[in-house]
Amino acid sequence: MLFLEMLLLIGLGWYGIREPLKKKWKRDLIVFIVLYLLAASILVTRTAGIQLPYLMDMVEAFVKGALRLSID
Amino acid sequence: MQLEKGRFSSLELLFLVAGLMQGSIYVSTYTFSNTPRDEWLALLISWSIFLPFALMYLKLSEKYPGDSLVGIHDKVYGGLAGKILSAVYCMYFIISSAMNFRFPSAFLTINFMIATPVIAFAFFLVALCLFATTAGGVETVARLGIFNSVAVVASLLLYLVLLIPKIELPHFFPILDVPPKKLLHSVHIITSEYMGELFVLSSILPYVSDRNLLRKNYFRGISLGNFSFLLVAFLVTGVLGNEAAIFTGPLVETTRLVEVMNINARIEFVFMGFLIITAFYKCLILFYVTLVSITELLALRSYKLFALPLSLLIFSLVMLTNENGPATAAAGRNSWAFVSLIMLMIIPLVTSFVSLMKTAFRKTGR
Amino acid sequence: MNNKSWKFKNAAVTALSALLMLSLCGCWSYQELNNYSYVVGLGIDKGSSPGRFRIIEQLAVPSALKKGGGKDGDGGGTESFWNVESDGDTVFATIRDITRKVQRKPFYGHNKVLVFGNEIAREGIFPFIDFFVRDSEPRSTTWLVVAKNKADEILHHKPHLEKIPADKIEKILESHIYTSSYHNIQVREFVENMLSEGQAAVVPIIEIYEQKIIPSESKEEKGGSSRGGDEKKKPDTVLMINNCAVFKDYRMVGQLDNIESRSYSFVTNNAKGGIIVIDSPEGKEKLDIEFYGVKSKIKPIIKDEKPSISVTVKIRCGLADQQSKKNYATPEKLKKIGEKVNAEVKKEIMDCISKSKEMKADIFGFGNEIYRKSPKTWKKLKNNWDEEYKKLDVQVKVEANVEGTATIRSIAKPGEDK
Repeated sequence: MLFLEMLLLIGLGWYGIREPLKKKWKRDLIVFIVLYLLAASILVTRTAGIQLPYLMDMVEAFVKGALRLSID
Repeated sequence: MQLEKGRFSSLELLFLVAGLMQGSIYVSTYTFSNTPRDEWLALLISWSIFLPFALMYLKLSEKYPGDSLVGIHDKVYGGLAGKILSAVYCMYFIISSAMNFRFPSAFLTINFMIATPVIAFAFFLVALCLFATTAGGVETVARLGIFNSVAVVASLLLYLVLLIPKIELPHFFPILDVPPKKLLHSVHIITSEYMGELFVLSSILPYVSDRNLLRKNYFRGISLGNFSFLLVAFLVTGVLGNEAAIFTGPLVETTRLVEVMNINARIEFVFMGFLIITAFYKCLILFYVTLVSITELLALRSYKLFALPLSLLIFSLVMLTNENGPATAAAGRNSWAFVSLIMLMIIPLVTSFVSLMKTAFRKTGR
Repeated sequence: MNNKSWKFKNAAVTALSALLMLSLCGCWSYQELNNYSYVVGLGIDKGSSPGRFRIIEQLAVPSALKKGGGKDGDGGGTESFWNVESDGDTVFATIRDITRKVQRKPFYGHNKVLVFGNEIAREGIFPFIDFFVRDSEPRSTTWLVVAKNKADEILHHKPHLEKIPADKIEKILESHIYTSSYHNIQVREFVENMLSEGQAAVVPIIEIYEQKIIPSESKEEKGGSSRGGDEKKKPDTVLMINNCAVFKDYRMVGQLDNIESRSYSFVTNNAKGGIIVIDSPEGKEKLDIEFYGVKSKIKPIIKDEKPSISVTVKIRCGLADQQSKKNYATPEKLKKIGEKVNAEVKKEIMDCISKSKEMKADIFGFGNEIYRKSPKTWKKLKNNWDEEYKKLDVQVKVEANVEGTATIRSIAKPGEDK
């Protein structure tokens, strides 16, 4: 499953990267690669079974911290 | 900076605004648990509180025509501060998109297809948004609004007609007997989450072609969106009354009570279909706004290029928002409401204020 | 312009794709129709051992229904229904356990009735009701009934006109409009009543009624019929709704007889039609008054923070049957009949209210009405509502409008009408 997913991600990534490569848009290429790698790593990590922290838990911690700070 | 040549009319803006608001209908469970009987009251109060904010969003956009949110921040706060704020907004949009993609997917699986993983529906939603933005752009996004809004209002009116025998007016009484804390909580959620989301349209307003009718149609769209909410509140309260507080999906439960000629057909699926479409439309708008905001922030050449990595990122984050339904609902009711309040109401207020001060200082020549 | 139409086309294609996406998902997690068994009735009784209960699922047999079988006797495979039972500690686990006996997964979306055994009803049905509200498959529009004895007997009783007992129970419940002597209630309404503070619910009681057969004295029978006439005639039994159970806090606390149940229907605006039997104005014979339109209003009156209730019942009725030879088709006589109806109905309603006070069960929702009128007053009363309800002053006013005497004035011959 993981292998198939990585294959699919590589294929999709290659399909998406062709245009900035062709047009030699450096900045676009870098941003594309960074965003794509970030997304792909999250997907692959989850498929591999590694538990990542939940977004809402982080948001809740941030809000609670901010509220405590403002009260203090 | 404008990223595309596409334009849409202010009439299409009307339906876009209404569609964005109607996309929050399925999340209305957050407030029914607080105010099952007085949802309509919370809506009216929220509407009156929100109207000045809606005007403020519009004025900001009118003051900087042709500039999206990133451009406005750059001009108001200056180079670095504006960029940082825009980056924070981009992160907010990404997380908000992930949450909004998760809601309809989780909704479908809980109510209809329990064995199906949430990610299956999320995949289809994300893929469709990817197609709509890359193939069409802002014009496609705007033109979908008409299909969406008309379908939702028509289905709500149909259910109203079918549920008239089940509506009991005593369910609305007594009026104003609601703990103030709960009413305030509902008003907070409605104003910051359902209505405040109109702030994201700041990135889309520069593409409206006929700006003379912009203000009228913008407020008409808000009215249509609020009318849909009021219809939902009337239906749910009238049929379920205080029982609405115990259901995770009071609107679904209401539609399940339709009995046509004593036949218990699964007619609620018709409405759920339109609800999913409206949820998709909200996801689409958020996706597009996130896309153009990131593109503008990083001064990239084409937003269509980043639709693929962004859709992949949002798709991967869909499963990372929360571990289960009740946790999502708790987050939506509590912490996310505060975040939305800050991002969609307080910061724009500060932005407007700073912009006004800057204009005033410029006029006095300091 | 070309660009615009292309954009519009894109929008239309996206909208269509979104719509089509809904049908595509239909192939995912699909189940064939013949992989399901359809539950049409469900019964819950006390189990064989303490702490356990029994669930009886009545499954429809589509092939038998199609062939028109199942009405007469156990044809070994021709029955239109099949009752499957299982014992357990919790509802969902027991229901799932039944799949070990039934080769198809039961589908609860078509469940029509939920029958509780009398013993279970007295102990409390709260542990059993959660599943029917929580799960998305069973409908909250399922009818709720209480069996006089065991739910098992009710669901095993073979109906005469219908093919499936659950169908028969549903049809009996729907025909309450002809007598109004019981109140049919769905799971949703029951839960709504239980969730309302101080409110009690009324649920019909179903029983097996034995019709006594008087042996025929025909010559054929005496001589011995060609059919082999020494057969003993079995008593004919029918399912019948008789009386209603009063539920408070999910527990059955008492019963209302048929007249009291009808009074309950009058007060709660659920009476659609029926017959009121009164004495004639002369007091010697009986008159059948058919009512076909009832409107009632419950008005709470709060004076010096003391609540009272005013109930007004307006009845549209007509003389449907009489034993007397008198002619009642005159305005004065109809007025007298109306007064008699008013008195009779008022007495019945007051009796019903007294009984509910004895049970400390606010079946009419007077507490709710007080709450809607004056939440402050209700807040003071709600903690002690059982006692306050007993002391509550209820004024009943009945206004019967006898509209006519149907197609005839009197069946008496001319001259006999005095």
